[in-house]
Amino acid sequence: MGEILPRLLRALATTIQISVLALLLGTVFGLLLGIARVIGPRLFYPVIDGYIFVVRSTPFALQVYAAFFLLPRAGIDLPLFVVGVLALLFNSVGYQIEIVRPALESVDKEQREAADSLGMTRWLAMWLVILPQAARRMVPPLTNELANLVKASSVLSVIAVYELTRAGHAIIASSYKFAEVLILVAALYFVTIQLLSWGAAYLERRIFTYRSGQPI
Amino acid sequence: MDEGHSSEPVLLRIEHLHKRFGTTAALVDASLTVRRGERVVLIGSSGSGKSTLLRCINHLEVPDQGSIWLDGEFMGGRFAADGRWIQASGGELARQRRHIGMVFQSFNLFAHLSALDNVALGPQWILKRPKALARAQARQLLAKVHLAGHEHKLPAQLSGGQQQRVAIARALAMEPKLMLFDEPTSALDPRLTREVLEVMLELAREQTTMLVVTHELGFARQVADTVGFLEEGRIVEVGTPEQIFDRPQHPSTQAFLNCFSPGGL
Amino acid sequence: MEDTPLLFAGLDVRFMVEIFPRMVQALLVTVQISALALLLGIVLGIPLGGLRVIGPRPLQLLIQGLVSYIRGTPQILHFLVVYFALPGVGILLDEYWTGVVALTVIAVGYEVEIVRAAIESVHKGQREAALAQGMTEPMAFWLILLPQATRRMLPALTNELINVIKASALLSVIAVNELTKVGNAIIYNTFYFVEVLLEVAVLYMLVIGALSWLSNYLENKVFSFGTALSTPETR
Repeated sequence: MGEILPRLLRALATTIQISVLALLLGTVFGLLLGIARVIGPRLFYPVIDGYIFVVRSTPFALQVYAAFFLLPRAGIDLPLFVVGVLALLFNSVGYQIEIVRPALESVDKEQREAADSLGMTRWLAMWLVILPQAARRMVPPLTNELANLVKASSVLSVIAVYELTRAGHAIIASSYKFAEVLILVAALYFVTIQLLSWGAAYLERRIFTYRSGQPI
Repeated sequence: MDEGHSSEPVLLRIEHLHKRFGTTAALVDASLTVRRGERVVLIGSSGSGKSTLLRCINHLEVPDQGSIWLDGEFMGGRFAADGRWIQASGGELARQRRHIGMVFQSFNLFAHLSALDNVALGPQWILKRPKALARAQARQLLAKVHLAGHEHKLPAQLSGGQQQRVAIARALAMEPKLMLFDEPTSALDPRLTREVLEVMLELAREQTTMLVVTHELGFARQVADTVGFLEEGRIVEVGTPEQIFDRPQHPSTQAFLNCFSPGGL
Repeated sequence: MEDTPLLFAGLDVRFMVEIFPRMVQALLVTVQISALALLLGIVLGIPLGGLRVIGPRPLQLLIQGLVSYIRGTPQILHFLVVYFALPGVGILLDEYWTGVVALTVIAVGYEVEIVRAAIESVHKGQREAALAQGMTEPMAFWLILLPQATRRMLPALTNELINVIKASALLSVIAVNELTKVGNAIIYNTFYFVEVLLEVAVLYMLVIGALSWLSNYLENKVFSFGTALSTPETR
């Protein structure tokens, strides 16, 4: 057990790295597409909705395989780590759009009207008035999304990305200590994901306090 | 107060405005002119279409029919050479709205910004003034509405009356040709109402062109050059404060004002 | 037939038609294994969900812990645990049934919560009336609470079926011949990457799209007489 834990901890670091990368990159695209879905040209709406449908209606494992097969076929040879991040990113953006959009829509209509009456264009109103107010409402669900990404990143083990699940698998294959390894792997995931979920719940309460009119 | 404005040029002309919400008619054939420097007050019971009229002027509500000119320019679109109506783009509409300041019943201050930032935001980002200048002017405006010292408070830290005065400063910061007040004191208690009305009185003294929807009849009598009475979406009577309050002609106006007669209160 | 590819948008349509029967067969395995897991999940979820509400406190905590564990760790880990642990305790199953057991574990983690939420949504007075009539807790649960809760569970269970179908793609790693696995096998044999992945994706989308339509439909019907239950979406 003494030599297993450090290896698993290093793999956990990889898991967290992949998840955080996918979350942050995903937020950039999620914001752009979410904003476009709210105030962009109507032409975009079916495209964005279609993308969300594809992401949510196919298994993540299939998306991972698709990235694994199709990227090299398109002549894009990337390290597996990057392929994994891209697959996770593709998936996460579909969910993050649905975090961004409700947050934007939750800002009071009156705020938009006040911006309109000053003569702001809708993009300026989005940037100066809507987005700053919506941003804090996105923080708890995005923290939760990070927990989901840590869970989902385990699927990357099927294309041999050396994250926590893959590392556990490899150690079992070489040592046959499956009980010890599985308990450790499960515990590491559980603690990480639980901490993130608590964080999300805590932030949710904080935001709720803000919204009930207390000064920040 | 001072003499009429019949010689001044017309700033706002509203002709035959119609607006429906579903099956209810909010505005029926409403026409009104406001001259430069004129103070017009619209009265009438709740749901009579006063607010809708105000919101149609800067196209927060798009009228179904009728036309609105501000300073000779058609609001919300224009007619092409061949007579076709061309709807204004978002950008054109935004440019037109810069000339109309609006004060809302529920203040609608930007909740994430301090009082100063609320006022400076428009000049800085829309009028493209240097940040330092925009903030200096915002300070002056806040002082003008008696809020010096409150610059860095957030809307949630201000009373309703203070918020509404910030909102007035925010609208003034854009140096509009016309100020619209949509029941600015309806959400306030009498003491706070007084604070806000005092600021509005000062604006009136400075010859600001104002179109005010309010239930404060005392204010209307004191400030208005022209008073209009609305009922069920129609402007049924327009006249000087003396004509409307002392010698109302239309039975609806008489009935409405009777509710406010000294005996009634 | 194989010599004359019929191309559409650069895709070999003839090949896609050719593999279609195998794909549909694999899809049936996917749906079958998922439905089986969902049903076994209900069989376990109802008593566990019931005990979670009316059982003794230590049992409630134990069930809550189990649910947190299942939901708070990756699905693929449950496959590994089942795959290694069952033989470890002397239970030998083939890949198919190993898969069913693993998917059932995943399904139970959510179905316990569905049952619990549905039961808690039945008015408190119903249980009190039953107890006042002299029913025992299990009788009140079985005769009064559960029948009323059942309809409220339907949309949530449909959503959970979607989640299980998506999770079943992970069975490809333990060689169950479900849709993802069969697709991969065809790719390795033929190198028709795009055609196969597209076909697999479309089949998933058809089934899952239909189920989420059904779930919305049921939710609207259910909503008319009570609160609908929400279920988290897994990937």
